[in-house]
Amino acid sequence: MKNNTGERKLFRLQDIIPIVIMLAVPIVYFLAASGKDGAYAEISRDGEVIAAVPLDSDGVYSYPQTGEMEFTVSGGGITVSKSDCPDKICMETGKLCRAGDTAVCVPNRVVVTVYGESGGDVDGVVR
Amino acid sequence: MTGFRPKGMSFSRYIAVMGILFAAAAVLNLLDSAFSAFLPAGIRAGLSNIVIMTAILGINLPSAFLLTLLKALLVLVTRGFTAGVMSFCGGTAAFAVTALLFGKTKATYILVSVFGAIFHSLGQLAAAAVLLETASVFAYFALLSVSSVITGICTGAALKAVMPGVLKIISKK
Repeated sequence: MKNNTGERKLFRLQDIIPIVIMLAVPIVYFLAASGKDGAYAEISRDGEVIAAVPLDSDGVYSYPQTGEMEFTVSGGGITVSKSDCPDKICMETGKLCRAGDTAVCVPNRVVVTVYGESGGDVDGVVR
Repeated sequence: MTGFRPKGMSFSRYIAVMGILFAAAAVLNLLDSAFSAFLPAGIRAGLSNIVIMTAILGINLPSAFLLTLLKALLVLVTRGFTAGVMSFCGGTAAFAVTALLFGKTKATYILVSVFGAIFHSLGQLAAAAVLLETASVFAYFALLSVSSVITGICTGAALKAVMPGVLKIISKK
């Protein structure tokens, strides 16, 4: 395989096409899925729903199933405000306000997803 | 070790080259962790993938995959089980697509590198989806695809720049 390193180019103009497609598809999908203000957040572990928290009821929430984790609702959004996981990606994700916004804590196997208007309408959720 | 060491390369040179490459991957992996503090949640620059791509082009596929496994093992030891599993799945997906594009096509360095970065993200998200038993982790993919394109362009350019030097080390008699 050493032979084909010499003739290989760094970049060709037509590379832009697949790169733009790879950028556009997830972004358009993401924009189409989010948008509406969230109504409530679902907190789940291992795919099982633990709680549905309305985003207008400010406060700090914690659950026996999620251990050390704490969830703070304020100003129409929810954040993971405390977690004992190593990377803290769930906390760094920040405030989730819009339908489809999701914070994930893989070590604790916890997912927080914001949904739009109550219940049945799952239009705004990235699945 | 049959199949790993290229014909014509002495055993001691092979061990030395693999040692250097793994050490480079470990250091770049550490740099990734340092940079990730300044980047949005969950984004890593993926600099250590340069080493894997170097091995795919300069040595052979089994050696490159061995480095991918060693890298995942390093992550497992230093950053825990979850990060280790995600590194393994992301690394394997990136290795597969990079090996395919470098081996079978004349795709440019940057294009291959961008594809590798995107498949690294996809592999990691797939691992997270299995660990969490939910597909909602793919909500992160929009952000990750943007960061993958940016880091892919950087690592592709870096690969092209270091490749002649690396080849010199590998093939020196």
